[in-house]
Amino acid sequence: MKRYLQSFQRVLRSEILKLRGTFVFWLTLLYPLCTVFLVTLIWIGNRQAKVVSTDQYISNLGNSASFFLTFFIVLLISLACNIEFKSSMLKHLLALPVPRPIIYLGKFTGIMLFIGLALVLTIIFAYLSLLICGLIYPKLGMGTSFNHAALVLNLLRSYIAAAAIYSIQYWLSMKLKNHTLPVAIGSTLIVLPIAILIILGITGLISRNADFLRVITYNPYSYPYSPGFNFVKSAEIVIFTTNTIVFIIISIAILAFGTWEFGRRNVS
Amino acid sequence: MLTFRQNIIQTHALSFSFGKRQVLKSIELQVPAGCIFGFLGPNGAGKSTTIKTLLGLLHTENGMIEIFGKELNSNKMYVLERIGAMVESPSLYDHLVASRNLELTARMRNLRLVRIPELLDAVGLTADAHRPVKQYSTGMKQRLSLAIALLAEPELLILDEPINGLDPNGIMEMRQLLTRINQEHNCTILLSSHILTEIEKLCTDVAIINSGVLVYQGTMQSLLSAAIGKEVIKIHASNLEKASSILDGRFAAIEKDNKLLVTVNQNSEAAFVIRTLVENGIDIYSAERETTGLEASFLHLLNENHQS
Repeated sequence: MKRYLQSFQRVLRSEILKLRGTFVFWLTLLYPLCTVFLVTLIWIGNRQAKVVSTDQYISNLGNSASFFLTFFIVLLISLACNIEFKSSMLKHLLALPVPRPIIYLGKFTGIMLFIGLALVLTIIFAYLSLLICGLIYPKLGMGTSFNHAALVLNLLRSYIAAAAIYSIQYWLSMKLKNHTLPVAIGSTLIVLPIAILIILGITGLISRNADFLRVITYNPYSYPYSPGFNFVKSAEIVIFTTNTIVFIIISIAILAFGTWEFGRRNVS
Repeated sequence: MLTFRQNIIQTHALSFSFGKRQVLKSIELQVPAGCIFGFLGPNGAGKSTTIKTLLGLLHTENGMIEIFGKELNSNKMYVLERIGAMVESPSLYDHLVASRNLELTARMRNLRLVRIPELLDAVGLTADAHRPVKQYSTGMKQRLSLAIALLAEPELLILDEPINGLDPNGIMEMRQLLTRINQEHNCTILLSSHILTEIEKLCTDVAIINSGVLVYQGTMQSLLSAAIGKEVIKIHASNLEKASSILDGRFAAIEKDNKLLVTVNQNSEAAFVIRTLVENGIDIYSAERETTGLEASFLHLLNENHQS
């Protein structure tokens, strides 16, 4: 067991080393930066308003971050896996004395660390943006009643809700040599519910908010941004909803299947 | 500890198929310890597939592989710890510098990093160690891949087409390097190639595979002696494909560098080959006689296998 853990640690460290300085690394910086920048622009637009609430900032950040998060995950995982195919490295990796499940899970954990870093950076950038806004326009600052927990939980909720995307997209990206295909599949699954909603909305087949949500919440790729489509806002941020728990279970099952399949795969 | 001439690799009835296409047919490969073993065969003969099965990249359906006297599937980690490998094209992270590529493999193998400068020096890449690999020439990439394969001071080095894409100077350097590794570290080297002249200069033992069947294995010396009395004619003609099909079944013929290489036993056969081609509408631009050697033996064995 100790040997396996040491191997896992080595694979994880190698993964971080090899991803450093790649587009994956820059994407991890760009995604939070662009999201916070966008939300800040909207926030600055409130400078003329008589009353502003930072809850609006938190809500906007949560909605924007969760929508872009899905694309970020799809792109990041596909790019991180493509590094192995681009330079025929998979053959080299599998010819090393490291058990295949360790390689598969170690790489997955490495990617998850980058995704986790994006969450931390989003929080840091959000605080920085409010600090700078507060210096220029005092009423756009954090003030005294800023809800720190809401900011963090609102973002964390989206990352946990995306559980199934991580393992599905990872398996697809490690399975398909062509980098474009997993990105295309992932992106299609993200935007498909919106396209369906537009069509059904225009044709008048659905009009109730609950029906809108149903289309989005049953798809793991659109579920993380579903709160943005929930027009009846709730003050409470629920992280572990029934859907989230189901998607976490699906994620674990797919990760286990992927590990098993990777161990048996012929690498030609 | 394995003694000299004991088999370091031994396969028993090794078979492999890609779908319905059988690529390896009951291969009985025996690689003696301490040798430089050349694995020869035309393109698509099954060389790379054999190497991939030896490294556990392809799972064998039938047959057994024994490396260092242990069955591969149940002792995979033990076996792979003692092997350095280079499979097909150089496998390197292009965005990283050479030393970082070595560091990654060293970390994965739990090796000390102190050997990295020494290895870079051994393959002549010290001056370029801090340049990204994407700026490297094919030869430099091959040498770096070799350095990575040597990181663990392996007892067995498996190299798939290590001299592909190298210029004559690069080939000579690679040959000298491999000979040195073999002699100084008593490292067994299994290398596949279709560049016969290099195999002839480098290898002590050889195996020839054709269409998934092992048609020969033994020492280089015994293979070369089998070629005595045979000659190869190099023909530059108008339609090599048609020329090859005309001679098919009667003479061993392969296309190489836009020329047709044909094995003959005597002068009268050479004359017959040329006459037959001309009579069948093939324009012959030149025909020259090659000295006997590995090429002749190789062609002869392929032809024998083809006829059987």
